[in-house]
Amino acid sequence: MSDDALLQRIADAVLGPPDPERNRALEAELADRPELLDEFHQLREAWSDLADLPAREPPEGARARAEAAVLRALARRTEAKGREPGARAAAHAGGPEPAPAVGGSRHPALRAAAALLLFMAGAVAGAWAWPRLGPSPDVEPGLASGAGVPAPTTSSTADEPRFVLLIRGGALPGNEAAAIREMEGWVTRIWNADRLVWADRFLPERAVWVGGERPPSDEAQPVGGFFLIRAPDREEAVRIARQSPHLAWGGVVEVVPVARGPGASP
Amino acid sequence: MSERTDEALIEALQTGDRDAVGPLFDRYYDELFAFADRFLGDPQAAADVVQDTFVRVLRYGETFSGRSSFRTWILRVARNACLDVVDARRRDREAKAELPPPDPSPPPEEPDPRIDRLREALDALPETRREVLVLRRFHHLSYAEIGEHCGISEGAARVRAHRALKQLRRELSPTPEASSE
Repeated sequence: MSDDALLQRIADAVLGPPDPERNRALEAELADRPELLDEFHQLREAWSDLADLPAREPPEGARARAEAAVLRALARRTEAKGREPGARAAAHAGGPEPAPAVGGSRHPALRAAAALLLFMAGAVAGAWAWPRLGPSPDVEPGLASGAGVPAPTTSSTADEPRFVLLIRGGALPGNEAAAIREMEGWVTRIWNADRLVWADRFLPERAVWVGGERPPSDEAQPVGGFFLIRAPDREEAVRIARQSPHLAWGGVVEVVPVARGPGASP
Repeated sequence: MSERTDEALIEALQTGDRDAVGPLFDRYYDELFAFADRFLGDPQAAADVVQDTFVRVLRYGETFSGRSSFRTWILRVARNACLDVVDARRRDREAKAELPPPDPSPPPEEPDPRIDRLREALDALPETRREVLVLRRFHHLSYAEIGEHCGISEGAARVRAHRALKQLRRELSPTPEASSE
């Protein structure tokens, strides 16, 4: 038997279902091939060692947070479907459920995020069109393949701490399309984690300074836009900010806690 | 009342049934977390990925055709979410040359040095190999299922698993041999 065939049998013996009889036969066959016998034993040992690697516990409260996020997403989805006139008509008639609305009923926060991205892209009209809307028939589960955008968030998370991520300075790199995709991925991840409350863009070049001159620090790193997010604590908000591709483009993100309490916006 | 099947739960979820969420979490949260943690080597990132996975399941549930088992399908959703994290890390690494390093988060305490070594060895594998090994060793997927999961043939999955194990052995060896494909 060729070495390749023997190596394949070794791999099958190690990685396949346990079979002591087959292993003994293979060992007997390899008796005059000490290097292959050694390979067999070492691979088996590595495979066996690997089994000892215990599963770690999730961080405290992670499951509860995830479950709550899914329930919120489910509530938003149900609410959105209920608002669609077609959905109500179909439900009333016992007809099929309509496909998720695309385009016209985007979440305002996502519209604002899109506006911010367009701003950062130098307002390259048409380059960024939230292309991941609308599932295709054979959609592969994942961000890159499309999805209906959930409806506006409910106020069930109104008491969570909030932070503003001020997007300062930076310039879009040469490959604008790739950069926009990166930014889109970041925004979508914040959205999927049910963190995004609002986003919008500024026009710093049209800003009017009242009661003083524009501070040099602002001139160096003007605020181009902001994301208002929910996060359980500052560490989480900073972690989200650190994932922004904007940092790789020479910009900075300022994370500012928002005061909560009586009179705060919902 | 008899226990609902995965298919019944995912269908119920599509109709907005909140009672479907708990059983799905009971069935899959731990397994998805274990997969993501071994894939990414970071419990916090793994927890984020699992949350993202369930949100994606809610969003993409209607695309589940039943051709593969729900378990294989949801593992694939988790895999896609993990790959997004891997991409983000890659970008982060590329940007690091220009940026001050972030405060490193301390790794979780591991009292057993042998387990530490195993984790390091597993983390040292390229994602494509680590993934195959994890799916085979800990989730007991067949090569056909792994192939479907990773978008490769059954034979390629077998070869990749073998190479991954060989590399793991080298990583675990006290005097590592030169890495070779």
